[in-house]
Amino acid sequence: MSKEEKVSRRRFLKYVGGGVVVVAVAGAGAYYYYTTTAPTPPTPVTTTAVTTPLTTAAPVTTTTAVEMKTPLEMNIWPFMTEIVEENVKEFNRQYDENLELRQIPGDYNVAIENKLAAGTPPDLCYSMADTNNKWYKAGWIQELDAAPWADELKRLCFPGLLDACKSVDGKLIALPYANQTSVIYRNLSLLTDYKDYYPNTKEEFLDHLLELKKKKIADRPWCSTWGKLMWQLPGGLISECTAEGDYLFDENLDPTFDVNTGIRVALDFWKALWDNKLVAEEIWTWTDADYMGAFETGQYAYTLAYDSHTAVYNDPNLSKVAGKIEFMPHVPGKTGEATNFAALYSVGKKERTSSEMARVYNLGSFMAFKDKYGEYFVPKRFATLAKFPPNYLDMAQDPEVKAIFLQMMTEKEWDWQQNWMRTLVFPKEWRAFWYPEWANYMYDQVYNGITGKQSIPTTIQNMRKEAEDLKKKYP
Amino acid sequence: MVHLSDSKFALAIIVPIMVLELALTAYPILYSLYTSFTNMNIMTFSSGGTFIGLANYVEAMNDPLVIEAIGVSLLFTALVLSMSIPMAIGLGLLLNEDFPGRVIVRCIVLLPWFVSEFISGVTWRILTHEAYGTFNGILYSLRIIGQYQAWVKPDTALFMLSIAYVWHYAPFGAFFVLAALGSINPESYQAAKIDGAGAFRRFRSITLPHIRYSLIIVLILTTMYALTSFDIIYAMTEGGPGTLTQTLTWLLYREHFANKQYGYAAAVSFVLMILVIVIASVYFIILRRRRK
Repeated sequence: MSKEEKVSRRRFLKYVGGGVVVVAVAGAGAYYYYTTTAPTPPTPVTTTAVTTPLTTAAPVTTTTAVEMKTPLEMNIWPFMTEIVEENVKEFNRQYDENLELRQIPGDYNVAIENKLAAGTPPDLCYSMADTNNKWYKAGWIQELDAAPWADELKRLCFPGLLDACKSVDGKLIALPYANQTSVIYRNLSLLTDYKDYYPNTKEEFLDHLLELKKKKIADRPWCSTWGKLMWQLPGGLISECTAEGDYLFDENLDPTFDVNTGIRVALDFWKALWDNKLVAEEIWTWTDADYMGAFETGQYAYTLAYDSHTAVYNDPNLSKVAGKIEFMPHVPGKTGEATNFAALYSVGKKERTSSEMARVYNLGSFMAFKDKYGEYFVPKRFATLAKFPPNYLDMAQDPEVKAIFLQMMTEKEWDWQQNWMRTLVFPKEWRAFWYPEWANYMYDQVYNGITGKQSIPTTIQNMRKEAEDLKKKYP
Repeated sequence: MVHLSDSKFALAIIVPIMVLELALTAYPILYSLYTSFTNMNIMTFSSGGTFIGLANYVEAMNDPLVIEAIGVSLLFTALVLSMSIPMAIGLGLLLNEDFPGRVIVRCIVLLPWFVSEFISGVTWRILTHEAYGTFNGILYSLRIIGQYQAWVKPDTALFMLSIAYVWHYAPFGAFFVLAALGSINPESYQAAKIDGAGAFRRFRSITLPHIRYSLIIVLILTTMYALTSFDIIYAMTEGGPGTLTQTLTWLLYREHFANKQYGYAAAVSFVLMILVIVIASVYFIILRRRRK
């Protein structure tokens, strides 16, 4: 190669390098300019704090000092976002506010925890019953007992749902968003000969499922997921145990289960489902979408799911069982009690003035409870549009709400739902800091027990020992 | 005007990029290393946890889950290599042939590589779903199966995961092989044919020596990527059934994000790093010996 070719290639690279440097400097300069230029001052507004309960006809307000209004931030996972966007607009209109909504796709909990840990908490965000206590203990979310509407909310909220909003020491650390009760759906298209048959015990239920398989009505009649997430295998097992009257843990979060309590009945039942091929072989890795989609194909007779799935299963565009499903009145077991899995709102903790806190209280009340005029604006929209079961005792009596649900279920199913809403049991172990670690261990142990790698009594003993060890490790 | 030697000029281009790379990666790696020597969890996060020395590493080496995860990682990698290398060679040879529409076929073959690993996992999840998967639908319609089958069950989960991974990854290797095949003089094959060499003899004596070093690069990269793979596991099995597809990467994800044990998860991540370095070192030692 000639010297001229060497020089021209080098010169070319020099020009390219020079160009890159110029662009980088220009970019850095632009960034510096736009981030340090003083912003246009916002229009001063008067912040009003609603200081009396919303049940009064005309809320009394006090006017605080005029201050600059910085935006409030609300983080959500992407679900029914069109409903939430309208809610945000109405909130901004009612309170003359500036609420910014940010959707967080992907692994929501991980993303929110990164935000909280980084010291950039949102003013309001979705949360789950199992994460709230950890966030509270870490000092990342706000207590809400001092909110002006807190006492009224506690009085009107379904007790089991209110439990989900509380910390281990009884503080209100979250607000209700979407309550879901663990229930069993029946596919009536396969149960034409069993329309009014509701087994009361797991033994009866197992015999019934075996009969369905034997008669070739459903080859694998039970549809569920035994996946790893908190509400999948762990939540399902807790639900089955609660129906047997075994709450697993006491108020101090000490384990109370052993080989003689309801967990033995529940695990024996699950083992029988597996051994007799009454469940899908892929059940261990199914996501929510997988098992819900599977039930929608109409191949399965029963599914252990959450009552908020009613609208999805009854959607004729998605489901072959639309119009052909029904709840069971209870999960078969000694007591038939139901558990709930609640999605909640949390308030990020940071330094706020009293008027800033008042704005956040307004936001929390509007989204989770009542609006400026004392109406259940957002909860009712979620009930009527998204078909979330009502969160409050008086809201459940609203004829408009009931009418919407009676489009999807019979009067008797509505009565069953109201009954278990009043009596449902919030699994208190979800408040434990060590619960996710124990739930992961539970998954591994239950897999080994059900697939025969170890006995069920060994599985239960291992789970109990692990719970005791974790409680000692994280007092 | 400043005249730089070739080596100095090369350094002038590389050094700024290396500084940027170090600035972006050195701090996180060093912080993670420090974290691995602490008992940091969600509660002690703000205080940084307490220094506990090598306790996390000792616990990891005695943890049956970690030992099992190392085994699953190695088995998964072995399955991937055993399928992806032959597939890369086969695809490379096929795409090297001259036929109408070769350019379009090359684009189609490369498509699985363009799709992200996560999407590949989601795609295979849908294809293999026991209740409504495409495979079951097609095979049932053709009466090849009498009823829908489970594809990702305890006996087959790791194997199906590796097939999905190979589907995504093999085109990458194929194009390395294809590039190497382009350097072979076609007259060599003609001469070999005249001398009576069959297809296998021509492959062994002419093709393989030319693509050997490309294959070694593919081998090293595929090993490293398979050992540290996460997205496809997250999409397809989430480490299940049980712990059958729980690789080291999945285990450290579980420890960090589910159990909130940041210190222990950091230690597991360095165990994984050491494993990758050891295996990569073995490859390089073999490569150096062969060159000698």
